[in-house]
Amino acid sequence: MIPSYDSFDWFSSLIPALLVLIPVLALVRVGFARRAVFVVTGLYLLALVAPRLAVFHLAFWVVAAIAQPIVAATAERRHGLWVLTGSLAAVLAPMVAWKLWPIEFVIDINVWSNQVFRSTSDLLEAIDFTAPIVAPIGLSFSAFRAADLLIKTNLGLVDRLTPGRLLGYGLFPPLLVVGPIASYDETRATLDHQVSLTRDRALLGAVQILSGLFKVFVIAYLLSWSGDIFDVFDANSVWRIWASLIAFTWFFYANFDGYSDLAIGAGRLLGADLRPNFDAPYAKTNPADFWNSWHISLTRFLRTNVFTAIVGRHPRRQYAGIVITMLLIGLWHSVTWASVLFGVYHAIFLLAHRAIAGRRPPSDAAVWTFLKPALVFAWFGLSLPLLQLDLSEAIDFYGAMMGIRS
Amino acid sequence: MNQIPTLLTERFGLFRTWGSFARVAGWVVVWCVVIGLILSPAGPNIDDRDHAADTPASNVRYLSPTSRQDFGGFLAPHDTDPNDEQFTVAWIGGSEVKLDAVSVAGEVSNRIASFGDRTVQIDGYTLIAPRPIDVLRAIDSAVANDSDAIVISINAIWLTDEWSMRSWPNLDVANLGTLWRWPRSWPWALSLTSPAEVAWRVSRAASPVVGAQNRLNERALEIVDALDLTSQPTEAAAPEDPDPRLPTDPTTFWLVQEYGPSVMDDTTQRVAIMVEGLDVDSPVADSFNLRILEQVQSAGVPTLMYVAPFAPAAMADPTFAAAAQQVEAYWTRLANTNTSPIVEIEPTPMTAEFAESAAFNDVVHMRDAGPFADVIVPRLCANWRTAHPTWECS
Repeated sequence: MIPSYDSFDWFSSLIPALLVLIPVLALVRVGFARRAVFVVTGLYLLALVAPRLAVFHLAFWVVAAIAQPIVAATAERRHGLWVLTGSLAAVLAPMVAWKLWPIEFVIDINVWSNQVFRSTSDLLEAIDFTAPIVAPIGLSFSAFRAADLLIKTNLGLVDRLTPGRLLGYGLFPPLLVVGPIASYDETRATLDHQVSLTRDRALLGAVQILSGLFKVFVIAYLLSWSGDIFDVFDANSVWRIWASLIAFTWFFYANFDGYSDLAIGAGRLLGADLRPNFDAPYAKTNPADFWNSWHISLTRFLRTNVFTAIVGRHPRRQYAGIVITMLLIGLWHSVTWASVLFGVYHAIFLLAHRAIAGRRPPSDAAVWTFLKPALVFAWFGLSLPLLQLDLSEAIDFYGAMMGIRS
Repeated sequence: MNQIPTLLTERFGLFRTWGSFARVAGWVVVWCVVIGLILSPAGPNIDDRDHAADTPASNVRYLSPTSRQDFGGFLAPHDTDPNDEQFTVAWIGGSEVKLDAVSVAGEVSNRIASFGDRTVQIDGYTLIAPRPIDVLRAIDSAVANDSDAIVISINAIWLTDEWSMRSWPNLDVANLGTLWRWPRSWPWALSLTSPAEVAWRVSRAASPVVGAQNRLNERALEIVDALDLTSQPTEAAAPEDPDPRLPTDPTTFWLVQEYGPSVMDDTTQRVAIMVEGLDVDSPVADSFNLRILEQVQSAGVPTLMYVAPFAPAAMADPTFAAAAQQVEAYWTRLANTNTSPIVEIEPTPMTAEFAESAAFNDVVHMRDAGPFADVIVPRLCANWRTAHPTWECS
């Protein structure tokens, strides 16, 4: 069993730490010192989970810091694409390994990171020894942030960065555990110079944190039972399975959006204008709008770096682009056949919507105003078992939803 | 989001100025406190904690949390006023002292009714697998509760090597308060105490509602249970076989990495490894055990620290016996540094003194604590007499 981590632990330390960080940042005007504050804080909070987790994340971002200037220097040369490919492989490899071989990866990162302490300090070794065994918390988000940075560097959208800037971005505390996959430009201002904590910034940050706390603590917590259905669907009647899945669909959204709010609100108080990660997805009326408002930072990353790269100036490739993009969204969650099916399922609906929407305008009948969001909610909720179960269990689950027991 | 400041300003006239912002924040705090005073459920007391009754019955009061959701720490007994008619003994230890109905402290309380002209009252500060820092905090609490004597059971598995783990993170809220006296322990205080713990501690002190956090957590769980639409199967499903290479508790994880999954097959060998530790010069043991000794020396009350006895069957195992000898050597070294006449360290596991009547369930957990109580009672009385030479146990 892979060790789990409650993301709320991260924010329950980060939020009180803001009471110290904000005054410190108000005093620190020099960019170098500000970046140092972010790096030290990020590493400190990671070390509180387990010191070896800080070593792991630091090593990851050091690799990115080595690769980025090389990508920048070779961007316009003939072999620039090869350098970019190699660099992307370096920053994505840990995530891929983690998805493919989770148990071996967890063992190796814990043992390897602890070895760093064993060879340096008895005290640190002992402190690390008492910490829990950890999964590579936040790795998927870090991998895509680093990949985004390298691609933009290759395209000339980001200049060569100093190691301090890159580490400041990589270890920016609000982004380390549950995203969003914020790009470098969203943190650039606060990494470079002092960003005044104006009344509006303070208010927006505080309100967004409160909004996140409400979603996580009230909505998601009260619906937290719903995830049990994936373990016990065999023992539940059809209506209970449906009701639990509806509750889980809300839980899934409230939990993720709540944590995104906490990250964005905390980031705002630290001077970073992180873009929203959700935009009322369950109020959307079609699959395309839904995916433009759900985990926006991930879909933006894939749209920019995968979909656009595939389609380019060839509109006919858009269908292949959609399929590959949605497959990657599925695989980002886990490398299983069920996740592949998740991607295929959503790709089919996106393709169908694109085909239909191109032929006739949307109906503005009043009944559709309410029915469409409900259909979108049901369409998305029905796909969630594919992210929670392996394929054979998911098939059993869908059978149980229809009263068919294996 | 961008409409929020405009909305609040136009609709409610708030936030036009920083002063307004501060005023609103101030009122929020005031109302939180007021609501806390009105709604606060009582904090935990020792009667709420779900300890198994001692068999045979005893009057030991168990002051420790039994759940990792309980943030109350070691509680004061009801009669916190110094009671001249009682001789209060703080018994600090782990499951080797009190596990389910078996209690060494309980057996001892049934053997010593009084000391001098005072009734002996034993207070148990016992946790399952306490960390060294929990022992330190228990000593702090015992002193704060005006204990007249302290007994510390040294569980070699947890207190003399690196295996101690973060089993009781709910007690971490007090680490800074426990460790601030020793600058050399500050790295531990920093690593074990997060800003979250500091924030919880401050808010717990400021608001009775937060102070009763464990009760509120229980109620929240009850609400979630009430909302739960799923029916759980009556027969528990067989747990998924965990991968033997990846136990997720740190102790077992490091054991498996060092010695392979087969280390879990033989309890005696495994415990021998744990007793011996990975590193003889363990900084964990040294940093905390020196603090423990320093703390009891400064407590000013008679203290007996004893290495908890091992099962005779385990002592017959050469590997285990060698590990036990190492433990004895370590605590002998520590005992030699003791300068207090009223602090006694017994580094030798007393197994041999009751080997014939000993009844153990495993390496350290007794099935019947009576025989060991017979052995330790005279030592306790002798220790107490170091502070009160004319008093006798009866």
